[in-house]
Amino acid sequence: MNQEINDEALLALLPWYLSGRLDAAERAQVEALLKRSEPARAELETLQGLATAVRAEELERNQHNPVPTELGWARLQRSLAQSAPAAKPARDWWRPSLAAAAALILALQVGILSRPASVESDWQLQSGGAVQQLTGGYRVQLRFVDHAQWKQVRAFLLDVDGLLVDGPSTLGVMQVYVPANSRFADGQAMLSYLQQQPVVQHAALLGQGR
Amino acid sequence: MTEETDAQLLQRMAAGEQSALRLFYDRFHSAVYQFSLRTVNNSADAADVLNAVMLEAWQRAGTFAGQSQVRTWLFSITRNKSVDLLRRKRPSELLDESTQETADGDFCEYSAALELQQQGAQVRQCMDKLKDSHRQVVYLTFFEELAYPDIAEVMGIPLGTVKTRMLHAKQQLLQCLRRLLSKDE
Repeated sequence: MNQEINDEALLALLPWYLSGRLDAAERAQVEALLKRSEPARAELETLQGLATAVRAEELERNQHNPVPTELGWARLQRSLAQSAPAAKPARDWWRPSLAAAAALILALQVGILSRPASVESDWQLQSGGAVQQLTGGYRVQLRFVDHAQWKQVRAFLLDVDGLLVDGPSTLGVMQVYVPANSRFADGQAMLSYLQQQPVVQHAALLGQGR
Repeated sequence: MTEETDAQLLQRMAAGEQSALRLFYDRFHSAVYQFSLRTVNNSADAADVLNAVMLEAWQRAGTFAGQSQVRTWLFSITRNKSVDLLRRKRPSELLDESTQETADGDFCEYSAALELQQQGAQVRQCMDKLKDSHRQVVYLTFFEELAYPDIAEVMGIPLGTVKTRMLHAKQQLLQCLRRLLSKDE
């Protein structure tokens, strides 16, 4: 009976035997079990197939969920700056900026920003005012899936370094400027990437800046 | 030039060196993000967790006692942050770790091991059906290849529970796959 209990316990270790993560004593016991037990060998084979399938699937899933490496780092630096103790008493100079940023976010959410003057080849930020010319990137027409939340849209825009230059229209269509950088070989590669994002329902390349 | 160990990086982080944090981030951010994604199930939340985990690693680097591997310690923070986030978002569901350690009982003899490898969509579907806590064990075992004592530490559960969850997850995966594959035939 003790042998059976022991064998059950050893069978439970097979997943970690497979990945080489047992200590020497446990490994020796599992190997002895495999030597004497046909069911244990069959179980190991099944686990091997399962582990391979799970790994392949997880790898594929990872490819569809690219890690936000540089954006994540930039964000971490911002968080570090915010969490650092202030060197001197803070003045309230930042409050107007913060209020302006909050207002802009709110405006983007409800789509109340006025449309900018049309531009031929270069684009400007939707916020207008002191116009920032955007050159050398791609102008993309985007529509997000109906159930997209602002948090997801924001994460998407941060991921591609995208800037909203127009919209949303009453149909929810926006124009976004995506800077050309080493991440995308060309406009088509950039477009393919956008089209693969779960939050994007429609993406079309409108033009490329000079 | 020999590469700094994880623990050496933490020591430099504890001394306030941001260059060490950058190396640490490069080394671990992908694993943290992907592990979190298996729990929170969307990229925006996983990015939030990644940020929170790295911030905490930076702030707590000096408290790392060296009793476990750095990776285990980091996964433990990741899991806690992910679960906290889920608790905030869907408080009515999560995460009674003490319940539902049940399985159907019949030991599955399904042995189409090679066929399994070609059934990506089905594997994904079946993985998604697992309880979060079971899926995490499977992921940490097969993908991150953590030892079971490390998984116990990451998840804050006894060693025996790790094995039980792995056993049940395996049975459920195989049963689910068998069902799906037999439908396709």
